[in-house]
Amino acid sequence: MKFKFLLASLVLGLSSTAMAGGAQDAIDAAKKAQKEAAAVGMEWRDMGKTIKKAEEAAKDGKEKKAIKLANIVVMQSKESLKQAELAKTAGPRF
Amino acid sequence: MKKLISSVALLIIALPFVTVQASTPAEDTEAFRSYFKKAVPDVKFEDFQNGVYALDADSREQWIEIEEFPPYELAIDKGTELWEKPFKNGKSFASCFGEDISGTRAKYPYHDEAQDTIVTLEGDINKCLTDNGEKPYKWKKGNIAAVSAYIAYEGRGKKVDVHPKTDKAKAWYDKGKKFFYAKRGQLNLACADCHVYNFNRKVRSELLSPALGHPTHFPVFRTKWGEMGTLHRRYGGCNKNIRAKPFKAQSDEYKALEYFQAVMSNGLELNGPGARK
Repeated sequence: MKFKFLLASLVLGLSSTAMAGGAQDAIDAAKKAQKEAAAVGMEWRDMGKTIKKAEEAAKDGKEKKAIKLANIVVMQSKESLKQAELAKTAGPRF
Repeated sequence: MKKLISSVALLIIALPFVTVQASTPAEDTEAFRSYFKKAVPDVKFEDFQNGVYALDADSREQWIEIEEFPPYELAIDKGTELWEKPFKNGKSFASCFGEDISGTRAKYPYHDEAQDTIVTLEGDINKCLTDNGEKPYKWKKGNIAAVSAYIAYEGRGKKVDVHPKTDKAKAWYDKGKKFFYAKRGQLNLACADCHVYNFNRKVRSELLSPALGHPTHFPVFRTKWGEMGTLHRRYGGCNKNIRAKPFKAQSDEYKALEYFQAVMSNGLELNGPGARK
């Protein structure tokens, strides 16, 4: 009985740690991605706001939501880096 | 024969590089104007200084009525007051800009070769303050827009006359040009997407203004703002609209953009301050 209880506690503890680590990792990646976008002058308007929302969600224990929000920023940053590449040859179409 | 073959080969290799050579500011200006002329042949070149009011008769009528009691008048009065008020050291704005400021607005923006930067009117207003031990104004509205409005008003009638002559100045021009044509933000739009390729079309209820003539009438009183604002305030608002993080007013990005836009608007009359929606 004791063994089962310990095992259950361990599984629960591990999974929550992984979730917390996952959210924090995702938020850290989002912050890094935001910096990369800013460095090329292509940061999108709501990146900072979305990171804040992700941090609030993580604080409230809404790990999945936090990861989802942080991943949006990472995806946006990838798009903004593509814009920066295209901007190098930007010019009139007439 | 060998020489001929190698010469032809060299020509073939070099040809693509020759054809993609960057255009000069004068060539760009010509192409820019031709584009607008072709798009709206009935609009005279000199009318582009009036923005959307050059395009839409109803809006123009309303604007003419607004101009009878212009909302920027209070800003001119405030600007006059600030202009005349001595600094703590006894000097005033006139010590920086001179007593006759009829030609002052038309000097800006310009490239400072020694500092390798673009100098804007607002930049020099704040420089004058700090050089005289005063606190600089905030960049986008309030006192800076008021002094700028006063100088613009006194300089009405002069024409935009900005020509990048040195390599350094051309580099700033190119930076501004790239900014203007580069897509940015979540909506993936460039300045040119709205104000060149889709000017004279509506976004919701508002007509998109032509980029030709943009810098002539700033600072402006915008109904949306309910107050005056500088050109860089407007740039920031535009960038926010397309969900790009705006740059700071007087950042290198916006100074370069202002410089590029001024070159495109060469020959148009300066008619600031203006009233816009």
